[in-house]
Amino acid sequence: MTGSPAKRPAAAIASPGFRLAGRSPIERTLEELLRVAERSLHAEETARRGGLLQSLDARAKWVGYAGFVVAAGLARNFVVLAALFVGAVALGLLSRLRLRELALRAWLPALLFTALVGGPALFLIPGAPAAGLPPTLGISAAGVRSVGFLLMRVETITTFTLLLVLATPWARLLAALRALRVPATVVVILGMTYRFLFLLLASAHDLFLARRSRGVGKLPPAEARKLFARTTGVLLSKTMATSQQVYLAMVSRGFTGDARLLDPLAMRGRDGVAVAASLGLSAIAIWAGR
Amino acid sequence: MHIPDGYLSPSTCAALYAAALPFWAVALRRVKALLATRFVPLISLFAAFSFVLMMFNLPLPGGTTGHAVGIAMAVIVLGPWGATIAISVALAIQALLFGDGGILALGANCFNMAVAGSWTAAAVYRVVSGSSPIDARRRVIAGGLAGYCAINVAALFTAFELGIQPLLFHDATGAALYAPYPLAVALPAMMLGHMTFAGLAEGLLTAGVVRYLQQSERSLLEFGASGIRPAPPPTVASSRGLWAALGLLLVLSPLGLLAAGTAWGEWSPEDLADPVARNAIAAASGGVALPAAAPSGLVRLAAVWTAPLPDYAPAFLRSAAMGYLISAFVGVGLIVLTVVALQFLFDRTRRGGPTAALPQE
Repeated sequence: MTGSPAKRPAAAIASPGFRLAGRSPIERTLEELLRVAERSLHAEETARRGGLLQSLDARAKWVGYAGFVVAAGLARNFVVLAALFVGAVALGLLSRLRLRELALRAWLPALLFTALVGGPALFLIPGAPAAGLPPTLGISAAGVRSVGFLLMRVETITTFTLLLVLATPWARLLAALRALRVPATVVVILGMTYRFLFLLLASAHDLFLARRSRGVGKLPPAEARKLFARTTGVLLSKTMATSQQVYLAMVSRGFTGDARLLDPLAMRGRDGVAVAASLGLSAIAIWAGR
Repeated sequence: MHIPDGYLSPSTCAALYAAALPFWAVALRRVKALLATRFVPLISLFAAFSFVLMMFNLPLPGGTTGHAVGIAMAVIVLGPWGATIAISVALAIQALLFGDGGILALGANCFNMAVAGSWTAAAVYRVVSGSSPIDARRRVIAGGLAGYCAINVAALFTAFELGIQPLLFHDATGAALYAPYPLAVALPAMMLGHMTFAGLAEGLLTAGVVRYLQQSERSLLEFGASGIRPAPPPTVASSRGLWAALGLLLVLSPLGLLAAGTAWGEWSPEDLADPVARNAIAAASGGVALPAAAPSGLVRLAAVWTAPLPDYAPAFLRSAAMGYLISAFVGVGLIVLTVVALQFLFDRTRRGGPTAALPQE
């Protein structure tokens, strides 16, 4: 099984210029399905750019990522968190990722979500009024600090995660997981899930698009719910049928249940330097951020 | 529901990875043994299905829309162990590929949805559907309730994990370092949305799919009908490692005496009357002053029940370590007896009807 057949439908449904007007539940679902496919294709494209992170072994990136994320998670000092964030942005730029990509994929969603979730904490957390703000606003200094920490931490970790994903092809990301002692079966399942995700995305897209193209106006909510349940049921049936076909194909090609992975990854000198540097910097950040 | 990174402390994330790990290990072993070579494609495809399902915007009464997770659907078709793996894989792909839910927080998200959610769905579906025929309306209701309860239990765990963060992790000024809301805010805020919109979406979609399967794909609801047989119950030999670990933990239980002070929130009226203990409680509660006397309700209710082995220290023993050890043995023995009794009762009631415990291909 190669990746190409599964990716073909994804490419088809993510064709440029294809946008849906209207905001009915069916159309919103179609838009979400398209967005997922587009994001995956975009990640494969950015992973092929010749930048700093793209030139490193995936295992080195996993180790560095773990170090920085743990450091950001443990930091109790705002300056250290900000320094880690700036470092992540610099790494992104050196990896030929555009600021717009980082902003749209990481910063903006994290900002909006954290503002929505953490915003009320500004008013709910009791304490002395925040300096520089009118006391009548009811915003406490502890509230500002809490929300500031949360926002900075979420933005920093999200940026590091995005760097890892955008600078590493999915297949290599998975192959590197073996080095972290993740069982081969789990890695194979993750790989197959990713591959067939596009097939099911295309199937779901076709099902909804077919229904939409055969109707005029919006469905009443009760009818729409029935449609969603039927579509989900059909997709479930297709899933099980495909699983059976894939199983038979695997058996016919000699699959015995054992999962073995090709591991073409090779650590070079620069990867060792990258691991040492990232772990060293993470250790400094953990120490400074206590 | 998908907790992003930064909302939970690394230690909470590590603890929840550790909590999910045994379920993953047992689920992998059991499902692999049950499905042999069919295991990899079936779980992969179902994980992809769960992922795609999360993109669906289900219209809800009131004009809004909600996303379903598909926990109960996975449980009904794959069984709780299979669902644990399939939902975990879907969550891992979401976190890794789309940043929906954190990677540090993946253990927490998997524990909440794939473990707690799956087992809740399995229990509710099993209890409500009972031994009813495959095409019974009762199974539609059971599916809907299983979905509703699964998503709400997962939300409850999520709210609890978020709500304990400000209590456990704050800086010297009292500012929260991670999720800022205490339990009093996190629980109602989280549960309100899930008991209404998200729970409704999950319940309605699961019920609708069960109805569809009854009409069109009965085989997916007929457990064990396609050659898959229930795995034999674990024998003494197969669970030897577990018993050895349990024995080791029992022997090590007196180490608990090394911990100083009283667990937060587990104070007795005597603690609240003791000046030294009062100071320690106030220090552990961010300097919040205690009321002058123990609350009357606490005093009244504390006297309702006197434990046979108070404070893990039987009165007839002088050695505190020995008291701990004996308490541990008694506690474990009672739990084992209870489980054996429940298993006996469950086996009696289950005879004669299919269950949601095992998957069908």
